[in-house]
Amino acid sequence: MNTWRAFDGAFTMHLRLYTFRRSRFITAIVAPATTGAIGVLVLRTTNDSAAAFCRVLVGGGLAGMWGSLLGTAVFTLRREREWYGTLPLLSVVPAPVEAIFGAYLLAEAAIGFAGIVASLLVGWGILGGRIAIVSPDVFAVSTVLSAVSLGALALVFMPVVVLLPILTRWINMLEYPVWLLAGFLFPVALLPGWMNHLSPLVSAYWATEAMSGAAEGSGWSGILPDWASLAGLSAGYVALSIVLLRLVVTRVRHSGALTLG
Amino acid sequence: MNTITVEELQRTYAIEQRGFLGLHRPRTIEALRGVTFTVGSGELFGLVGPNGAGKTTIVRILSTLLLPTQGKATVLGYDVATDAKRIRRRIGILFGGERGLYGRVSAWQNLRYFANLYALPTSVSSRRIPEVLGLVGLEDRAGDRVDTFSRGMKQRLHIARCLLHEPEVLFLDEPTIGLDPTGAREIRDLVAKLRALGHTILLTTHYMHEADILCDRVGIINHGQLVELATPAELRLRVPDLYVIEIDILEPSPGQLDELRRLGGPDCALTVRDADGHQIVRMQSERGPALVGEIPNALGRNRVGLITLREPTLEDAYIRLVSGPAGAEAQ
Repeated sequence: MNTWRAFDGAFTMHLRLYTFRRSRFITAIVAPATTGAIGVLVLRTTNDSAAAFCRVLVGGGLAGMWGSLLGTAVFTLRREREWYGTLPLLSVVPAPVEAIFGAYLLAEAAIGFAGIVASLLVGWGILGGRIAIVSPDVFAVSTVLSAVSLGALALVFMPVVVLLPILTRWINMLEYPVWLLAGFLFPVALLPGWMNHLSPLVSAYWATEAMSGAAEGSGWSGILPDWASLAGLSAGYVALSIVLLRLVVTRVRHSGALTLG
Repeated sequence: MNTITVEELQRTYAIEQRGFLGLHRPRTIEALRGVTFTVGSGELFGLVGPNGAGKTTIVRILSTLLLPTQGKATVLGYDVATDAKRIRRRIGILFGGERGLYGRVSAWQNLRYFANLYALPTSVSSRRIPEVLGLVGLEDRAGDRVDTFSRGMKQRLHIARCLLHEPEVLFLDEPTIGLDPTGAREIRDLVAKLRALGHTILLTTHYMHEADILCDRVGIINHGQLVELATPAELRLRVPDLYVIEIDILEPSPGQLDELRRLGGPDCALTVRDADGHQIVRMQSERGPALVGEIPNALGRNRVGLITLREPTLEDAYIRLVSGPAGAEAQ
């Protein structure tokens, strides 16, 4: 119950703080819509498949969501410490830190839904209404699972950037490998063979598969393996994040980095 | 029964300094060097000392934010190193300054968030939030964004936040820092009210007046060591034969301080403050009444304005205890 209340509180607070900020309009709506639009315009010169257009538009939305999540994962601790000064307080509440920061990321993923909608709408406009979500119910479930799995993947990065601070300087380089491995804008089959083996380890790959599949009309049974992969990888990411976050908290209590950093 | 016990507490920080050719040299800072004290149930205990003395480090250790390097500390019978979870439910923490709140949302929403983090059921938090806002006098501003609040209002909201879950022990780390006199007085009144409600409070401050009027006992900490521990009245008695003379020097000139130190004798402590071309010199000396007559002659009558002689306050005792006789000029 403790964890749930903390999760609920942190989720609500993140939405209150960041949903309607003007700067978020660019990152949450304009960026994914632009990515999707560029993908469609490039693809249209060589391809006329509605399924391929759908994939690229879903990929554009997911790319936007991933970018926002990665930014949140990398900068949340710094923001709580340097902007709000709340990090010491969050560190001494009874609630587990993974519930607080996990909720922030899930709230950010929820904001990212707007990017998926924006990307699909822009594509729909460019293509004159030629795309459609064939299985909307399966698509909706896939979208929620995808958001959760991207949030879980981002949660792994949160302690990692504390343990390896130099990574914060290379945030974009952390963003693009996932674009490639997930096949956001083109099929992963186009990548070198060794990268094809890595893709299934990245939940964003299964998110793209599940959402594109649902948009193209895969039924419940066809999409179940994708959902299972999303759920399994998310659970693994969350478990790894909990271990790493607790390691960070212990190291901070030992080193006093919160006070001297 | 003691609510807080601190035994031989030590804390060191390892930091890296950039040295020759940009190479990093590891360095160790000793923030606490074997501090021991206890705080009784319902007591308001003050820790006073200059900046960097180690007050905040003690609060951070007792509130489970930091681990001690050596020594032991318990809160409500639980070890801060091993029972952090049990302690966190039963303490409230206030760190000085404006930060620690979400400015873009309302006071109510800030409190609702922290109520959730302390796992208060909605029915309880819906009752507690208006109660604590009423206690700190912010009930009319509950729906306003926190970044529209004055510094004093933010500090009162901090107090409301740390009372939400009805903690038995409160750690108040410099609660009046940076506040104007009115705001500081409001916070002091609130702290007195909290003590009357039965909370055990550990208060850190470097305002002696605050410690004097609020605290049951005061520990003076300097360079990571507890140098005195007594009631404010007992601390004043530690300098029984001391007089405090304040001299307004209208035309400061080199050598005057040496002259005053010579007049005051070997145990004289001097504090100097510049004020619009004047210098206000505070002397602590056992030769008080005699000095009042000697000072104008020694410095030149037209160079000296008002000279006042008075009994020592807790602040005077503190300066004497922390700085030692001739070492107070830097104050």
